[in-house]
Amino acid sequence: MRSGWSTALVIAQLTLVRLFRGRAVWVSVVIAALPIVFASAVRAQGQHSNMQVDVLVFQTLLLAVLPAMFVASSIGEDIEDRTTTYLWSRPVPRWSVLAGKLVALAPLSAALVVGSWIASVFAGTHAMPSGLSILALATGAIAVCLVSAGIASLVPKHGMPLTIAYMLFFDIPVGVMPVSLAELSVTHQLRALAQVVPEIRDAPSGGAIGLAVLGTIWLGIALWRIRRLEA
Amino acid sequence: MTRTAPSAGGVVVAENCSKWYGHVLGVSDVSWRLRGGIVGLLGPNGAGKSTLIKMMAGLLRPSRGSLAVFGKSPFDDVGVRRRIGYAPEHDKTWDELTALELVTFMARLAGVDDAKAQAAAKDAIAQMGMTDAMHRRVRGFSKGMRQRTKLATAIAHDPDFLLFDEPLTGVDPVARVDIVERIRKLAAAGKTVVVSSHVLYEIEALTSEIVVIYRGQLLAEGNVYEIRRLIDRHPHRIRIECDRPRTVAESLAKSDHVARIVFERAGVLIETRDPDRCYDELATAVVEHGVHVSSLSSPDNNLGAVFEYLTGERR
Repeated sequence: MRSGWSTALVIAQLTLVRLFRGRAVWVSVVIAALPIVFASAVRAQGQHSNMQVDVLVFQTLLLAVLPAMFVASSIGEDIEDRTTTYLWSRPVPRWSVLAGKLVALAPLSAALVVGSWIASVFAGTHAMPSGLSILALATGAIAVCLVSAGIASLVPKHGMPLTIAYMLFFDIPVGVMPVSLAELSVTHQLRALAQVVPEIRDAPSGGAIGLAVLGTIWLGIALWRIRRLEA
Repeated sequence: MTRTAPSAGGVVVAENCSKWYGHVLGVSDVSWRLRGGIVGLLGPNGAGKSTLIKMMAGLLRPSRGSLAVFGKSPFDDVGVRRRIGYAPEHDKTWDELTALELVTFMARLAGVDDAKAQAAAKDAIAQMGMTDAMHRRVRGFSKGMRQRTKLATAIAHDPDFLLFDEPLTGVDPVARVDIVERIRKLAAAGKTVVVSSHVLYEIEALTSEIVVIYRGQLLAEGNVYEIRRLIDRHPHRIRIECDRPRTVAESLAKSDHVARIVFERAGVLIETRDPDRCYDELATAVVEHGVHVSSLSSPDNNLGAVFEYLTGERR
């Protein structure tokens, strides 16, 4: 019998084969290109002040959409369409199904977000963004993937729209509040780690820890739910 | 494929096993032991067949009681699922994949080495007569091809115990004969096979050993002929819609096999203990008296009516 991680890699492969035969990847590439268009347009108009901050706002919106498109829809559809019956009737630990999807989709989400960030900052300023901001966007994307996994395993039928709604109407608004509630926001922690927004005084390490804690909580919710789900 | 001896307690042992979905009953207090061979799980839609099969496949956990496959809980014990092959009732699968890719992935997930998985998948696909279509995407498959592909995913890792949930539903008559033959071959090769259906003649074509399930309860278990005998003990109903129902009734009233005659708005309903004789006498009466028959039907052709009889038998 395969080990759990070996199984996760097979599921990751299966997930990627399916993904690249669908339209989601191409749609997401188009969405990821929007901040680049925005930055280029702003630069063309000669407005250069706080370019990185403006682009980062755009990137947080991207974070609300891309991981949900990949992770929440993949997990939600499998549960809702009952294709999980093929997986769960095999000698496959439940956690490895989740791990396989995350191993396939989280790096892809992170790569798209980071690629979009680098390209849009370069398009707007003709300079490369800081390494810390790249790290922040990558870990932020992975954290939102874990949020997506948690929400999709709780509400498979509406996993993608609910994740987007959660990010747009809870995480992003709470993240800009000047109170400690902002610590619950992935996008706030991302900004703290990125050190791009001058108004945020938190240390980068605090942002990194915050992202790790929030990601772990959502991963725990997803694992707990997947373990209990019946097909 | 190798012949495998069932474990000492039986392949499946269910003890007072019940399953609820919230307030809805799926399976109620089922105690059952499956020792091997090929067994048909017969019951109307919603009877609890799929619930029982899903519990055996490790997809559902019993709400009460226990169910063990090869002595272990299939829901909790990942390892025992290596010995189980399950083909679900639904048609949903990963349509972006070709049949070969799908079956290969399923074989790998079931524990077959990566190097051998494709060969195992090709073999399973060949056993299901799908070799010509194995490089086509599942999206374009007909119902019968999907059924065969599902069965191939279930057998690719050479499991000892096969669970086929309604494998003949929606399949055309020619494909049905072929699939039946292939399932019989699997059983002949030593696999324990459970096949569910809501159609008696489908099950009869596969096996003589059946389990009848209705409203979540096991009503009867044993040889299909015993079940038929049980069914035959109950009067068979024949409804005749004709222009002279009283004449028909008078002709049959003296026969000892007729249990009851009920006049209805457009005809007459006859309950008989010997359907063959009754049909013969009915034909004679119609011809002799020149009765014009507009409709002749048997409400008992509906399997649900038979199950209602069996439920009554247990009360």
